[in-house]
Amino acid sequence: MIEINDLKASIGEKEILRGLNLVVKPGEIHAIMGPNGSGKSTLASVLAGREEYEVTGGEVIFNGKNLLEMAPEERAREGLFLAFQYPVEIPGVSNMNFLKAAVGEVRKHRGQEALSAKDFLALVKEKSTLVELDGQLAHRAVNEGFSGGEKKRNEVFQMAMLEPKLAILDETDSGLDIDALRIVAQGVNAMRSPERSFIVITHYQRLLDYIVPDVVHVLYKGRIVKTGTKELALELEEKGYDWIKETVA
Amino acid sequence: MERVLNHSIQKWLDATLTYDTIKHQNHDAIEDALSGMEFPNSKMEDWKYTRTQKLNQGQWILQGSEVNSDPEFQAVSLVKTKIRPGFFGCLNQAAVTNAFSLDIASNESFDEPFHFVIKSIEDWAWTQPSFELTVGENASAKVVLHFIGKLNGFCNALLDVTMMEGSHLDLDIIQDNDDSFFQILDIRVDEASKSHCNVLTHTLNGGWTRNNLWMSLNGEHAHAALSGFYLPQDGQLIDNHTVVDHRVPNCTSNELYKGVLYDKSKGVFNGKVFVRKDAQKTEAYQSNKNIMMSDDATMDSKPELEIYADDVRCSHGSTTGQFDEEALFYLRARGLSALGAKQLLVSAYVNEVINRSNNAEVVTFVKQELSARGRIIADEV
Repeated sequence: MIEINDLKASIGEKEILRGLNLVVKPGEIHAIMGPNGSGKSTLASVLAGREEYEVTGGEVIFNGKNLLEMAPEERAREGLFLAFQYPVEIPGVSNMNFLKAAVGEVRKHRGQEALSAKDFLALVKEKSTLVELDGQLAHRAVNEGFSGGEKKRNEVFQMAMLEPKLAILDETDSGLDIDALRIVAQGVNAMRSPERSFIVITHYQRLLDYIVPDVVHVLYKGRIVKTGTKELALELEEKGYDWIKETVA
Repeated sequence: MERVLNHSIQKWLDATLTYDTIKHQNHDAIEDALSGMEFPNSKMEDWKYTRTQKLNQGQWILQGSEVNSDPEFQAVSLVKTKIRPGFFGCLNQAAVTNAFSLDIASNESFDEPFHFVIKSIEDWAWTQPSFELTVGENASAKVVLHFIGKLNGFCNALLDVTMMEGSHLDLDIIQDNDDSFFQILDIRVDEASKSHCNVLTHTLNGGWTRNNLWMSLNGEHAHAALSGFYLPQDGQLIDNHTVVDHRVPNCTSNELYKGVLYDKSKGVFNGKVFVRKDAQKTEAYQSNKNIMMSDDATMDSKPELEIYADDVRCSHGSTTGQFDEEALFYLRARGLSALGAKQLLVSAYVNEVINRSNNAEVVTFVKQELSARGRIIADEV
């Protein structure tokens, strides 16, 4: 699905990713954990194509294609989805118009026919139920006036609408209460399939009780320094990150 | 008494002699006023940012506009508009080419809009239409002035609105002129107590456009809403000068002008709000927002608030900037092209103004027109 080789990236003068390697196969869920400032969100941003970050080395192959050469929208059309840590509020742009445009672009890229208004609305209804998103929210402006939980549910709703091949969840659990966390996880789990992969970036183990990963990585100072099974997340929860820092040092 | 006119003014007046114009009831006073004037230029505060040379150099041929109205109106033979302080206003009054007067009787309420289409089609045509509109006590109406200007033309239009007590008016102005067309539109609105006037200027296109809108709140509990949008491209110029004059207590005004400026276009916004000494409990809000789509576009925005009363709620603000990069990235990260994302943001931005119109037909028409021209994306699934 995705193969990241020796990826290096910086913002301004500061090097954040310092030779990161990661391979995610179809159907797998990988969790990336790590202390603050280790580069977790940078990784998500670089993969999604945020222009503030400069890639200074390495390569990313996404389904056989060079991901880093693509514009953000091409990545999305190729099937990469980033659930934002801080979803943006866009006053005046209705969720519906926005999603219709997005779904239209993605379908066109995949050589699928455009959805009729009726089919589109049916799809909205089906997918919004998945994350228990109030039908009204779908008709409001993008994220405007949404609570933290609603914004994250809206991210998962959009993911369900766009049916990506690889979804990156960037600290989707941050700021969520336990009910919202359960709903978000339920949405993600409903989308698990042998063809779809997930990279779940989180600071806490809590999310992984709900979205059970196949592999857990620890990111520290821009590199993956430890890889294990879901038990590694529990160990981190218990011991914190200090023992990792010591082993690396 | 012999009048000695400034050379440039004389030239314009001479040019009016070739057409059989409609007389103003205060013709002499208007000629007196003109005799003391200079042709507008950048040394004048009111014309500081808007160049007038090209307009002054035009070989204009005065003629009537082609006016179609629904329902049909008879042209009037004597113009009674209030004398304007500026050159172009007086010029219109000195030589009116088309004059219409619309009186809405007291307590009459019309759901169907009065729709005027004012068209200029000939090359070098110079037209000076004049409109007088009175909305009687507790009457309510919707009026649309739809200007269409073709080729190299100049339309210098004027409108007087008198709102009687408790009256209600939705006035939509549509400006749809060619890239080489000049338009000046001077509107003066006088509002009696408890009247409510909502003016919206939809500038769809035009080479050089100057709008003066002056709204005077003369009776208590009157409300003035004024808004407009503009999307100039290439070398177009759009200038909106507005004045809201709170003369008495307990009135409210709400102003919103928004623009998206492309290419080498130029925008000017000058919005004055006066709150007179007696106008206590005034609530006046003004906002001008601009998005610059090109490094070569310029915007001069000047909000002015003059408050002489002490118990008022007023705010004004002006912002000029680029699109929110985060919003753009968010939309692109969902598969929208950079252009598509910008179009979606422009649509939302402009719709905020268009949706302030209470005339559903106009809202639909304007959105369809802009969307057909690729300026916005039509909304709703």
